[in-house]
Amino acid sequence: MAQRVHPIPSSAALATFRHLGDPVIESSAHDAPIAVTPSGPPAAGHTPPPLSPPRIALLGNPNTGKTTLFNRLSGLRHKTSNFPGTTLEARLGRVKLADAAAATDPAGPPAHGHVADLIDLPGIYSLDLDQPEAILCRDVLAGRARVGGGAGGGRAAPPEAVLIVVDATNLGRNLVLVGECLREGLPTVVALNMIDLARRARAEPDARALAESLGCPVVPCGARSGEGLDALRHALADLPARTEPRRTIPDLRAWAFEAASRAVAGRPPTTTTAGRTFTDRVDHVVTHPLMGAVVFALVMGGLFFTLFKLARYPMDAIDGLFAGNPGWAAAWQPDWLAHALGAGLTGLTRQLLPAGLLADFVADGVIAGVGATVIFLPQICLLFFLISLLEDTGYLARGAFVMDRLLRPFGLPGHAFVPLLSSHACALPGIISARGVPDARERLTTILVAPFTTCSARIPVYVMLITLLFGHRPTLAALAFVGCYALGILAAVGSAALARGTILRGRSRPMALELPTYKIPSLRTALLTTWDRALVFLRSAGTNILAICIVLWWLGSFPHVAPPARADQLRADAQALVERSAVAESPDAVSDAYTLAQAMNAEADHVERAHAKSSSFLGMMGRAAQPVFAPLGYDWQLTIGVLSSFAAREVFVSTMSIVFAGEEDSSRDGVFQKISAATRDDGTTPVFTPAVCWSLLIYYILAMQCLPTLAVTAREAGGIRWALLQLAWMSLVAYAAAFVAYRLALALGA
Amino acid sequence: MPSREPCRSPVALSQLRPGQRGVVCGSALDPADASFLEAMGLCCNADIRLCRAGAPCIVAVTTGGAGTCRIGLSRPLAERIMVTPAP
Repeated sequence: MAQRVHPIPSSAALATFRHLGDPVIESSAHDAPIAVTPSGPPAAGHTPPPLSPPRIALLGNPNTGKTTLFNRLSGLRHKTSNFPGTTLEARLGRVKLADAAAATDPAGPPAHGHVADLIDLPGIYSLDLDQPEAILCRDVLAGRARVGGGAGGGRAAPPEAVLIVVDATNLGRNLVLVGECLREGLPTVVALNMIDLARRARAEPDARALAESLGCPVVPCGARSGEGLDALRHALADLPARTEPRRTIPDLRAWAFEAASRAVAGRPPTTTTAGRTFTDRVDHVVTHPLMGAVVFALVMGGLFFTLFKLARYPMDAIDGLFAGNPGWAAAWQPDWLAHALGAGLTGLTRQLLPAGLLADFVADGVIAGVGATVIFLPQICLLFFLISLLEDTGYLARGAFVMDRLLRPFGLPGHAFVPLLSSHACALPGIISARGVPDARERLTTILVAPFTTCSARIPVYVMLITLLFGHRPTLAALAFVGCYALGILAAVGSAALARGTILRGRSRPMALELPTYKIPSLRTALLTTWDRALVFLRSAGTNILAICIVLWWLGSFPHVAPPARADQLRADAQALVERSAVAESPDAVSDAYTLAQAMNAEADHVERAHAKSSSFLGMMGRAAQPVFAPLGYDWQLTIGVLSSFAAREVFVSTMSIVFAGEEDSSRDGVFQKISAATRDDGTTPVFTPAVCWSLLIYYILAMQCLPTLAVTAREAGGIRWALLQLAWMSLVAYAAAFVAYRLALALGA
Repeated sequence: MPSREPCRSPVALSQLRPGQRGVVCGSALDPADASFLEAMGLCCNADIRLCRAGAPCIVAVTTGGAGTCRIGLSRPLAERIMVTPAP
């Protein structure tokens, strides 16, 4: 039964049409969602499905400008998630279509907002391939895969239409996928993208002839320039009203080549000209084993230098905004502004709210949690902006070949290099950038092992422990630092080899990549990609990190305990000192007494904070868990440090500062000395013996100790089970290696 | 498709000289690899030109008489693809 499109002005009319069993596209207001309900008579007791916009699946070969077109059509009105249970990315965009009435009847009355949901599927060469991306596309087209969005969290039903992006400069191969889709019998529109490039090469296909050959609308367009997008919106507006029979195309390739040849009939034939072209010469250099490695090192060095150099400023600013930075704020006028900026949001909260539980919760739980999330944002944005630019130039595919030689023996492809290198800054952008790895198993392996590499959050821990080990021997300290990085890389590639030989066993996808044409990158695409990644990070990781920070704050702050006797005694002594000085004759003596009293009060605060920490739930957990860490040489105080840094490893340093010096900032005078001189409960045995330091160092090189990473792994790998596996494996490796290091150090007399 | 002379004996793609043209005439690849390469356009009767020999091996492929694409291949793949060199 042919479908008809009806703009519906009222719910009464809608009910009438439903009663008649006609398909309905419903539109209540401008920009409001529309929905297609299936045609046919309503069954007795049938409840209509929830109304939502029609869905259009966006398909295409890799490098056809599919994502650029998606961004053009949906702009910022899209959200990114994973297809449930997979590492494959699903982007769902709300597309404003051309006026449906105008599309079908230019003389008719204008309809209201007409939108559709565009599902950006992974780029594939063929629906028939036995690859996760192709299987997913088949499932989506057949209605077997749920696609996110809508109140129902997505529905498993075939899309109402398909939009296929084809490269106008490479028609023959692209049309094979078109033929495969037409076999499915879904209403289809072909976007003949890069038409400007084809025109420039004097090989512009005849869209009308192509449409006749294919039997579906063909719209010439240029996603980069925006050419032809209005016509595409018109064509899409008509689609949900179309029906297509399933087609039988016996020899797809011959059919596609014939259609392509007919579309370019009369144009000069495109052949592979003999001799070496400019692109050949550039490719020869950038993929050469030696020269290519040098170019790759320069490009990546430049990228990460820019990343570290530029991201530091917004990160410092964010840190200052949340935690306060009096030195930076002092230059601001008026004074109240300098004071407010100096205190940061945490300090402001404490000033605005009465001291107590609420102020602690908001300042140390919520604001600190938000700050802990947002501080990663500049690195993530900048990394994806730069990678998007680089990818758009066409270089990244060449670089993957260079690194493939190094990584392939460990079961990883060349594409894994960028995620692994990014993880040296922070595992979060590293894991997210693993989306560039085409093979699903290799992508998952990359995600699982990336956190082994030394991220910047480990550095404070390394600094503290290496200083304790080699405080006055800078050469050895430098070697130890290098060793930390090397051990992290070895653990990553070793684990990758193990994973690829066991749980992620399977043949590696052969390194066969289409090398896109070199071109000037699109700033618009890079900015949209950056925006997309930033939103993804803030939405999914941000909520988890915030929740985790609040839980850890609660564990570390409760129960409230009375100050220890020593703190009370110190305060009482300070008070007595001040009172005695009041009767002193010399002003110097009064001043000295006040200074001493201030120091005693500060010491009392430190003692109280350390007591509160050790008496908290976290402290109790530290004591309870101490037997587990005893074989590694840790006493209960170190165990508190390990547990409290479970969410973020750098917290270990501040926890040790609080526990041993009652001061959060380890860089303050005397704090490091107190840490290095700390003793166990017997009062004589040092906490940080060389053997314990080695054990801790090895543990922190290899342990997960970063809950945000786990949250992102769960999201990117397509399930919490992978995050738990990552946690378990890294913890096991860290524990075993730390145990061996401790015993070895003891045996060597350290 | 451009005219060609299929009289020459097939050689491995990796044995072509940079700049030399040929026609793909078969492969000794794993079926999954063969399907993937075929989907990329590197199928029987495809006109190719070797852009870079070695690893990676880079070929320009004419697809269906309309347009070309460049494909990079690892050495093991290039050694298993047979081509008839153009004269």
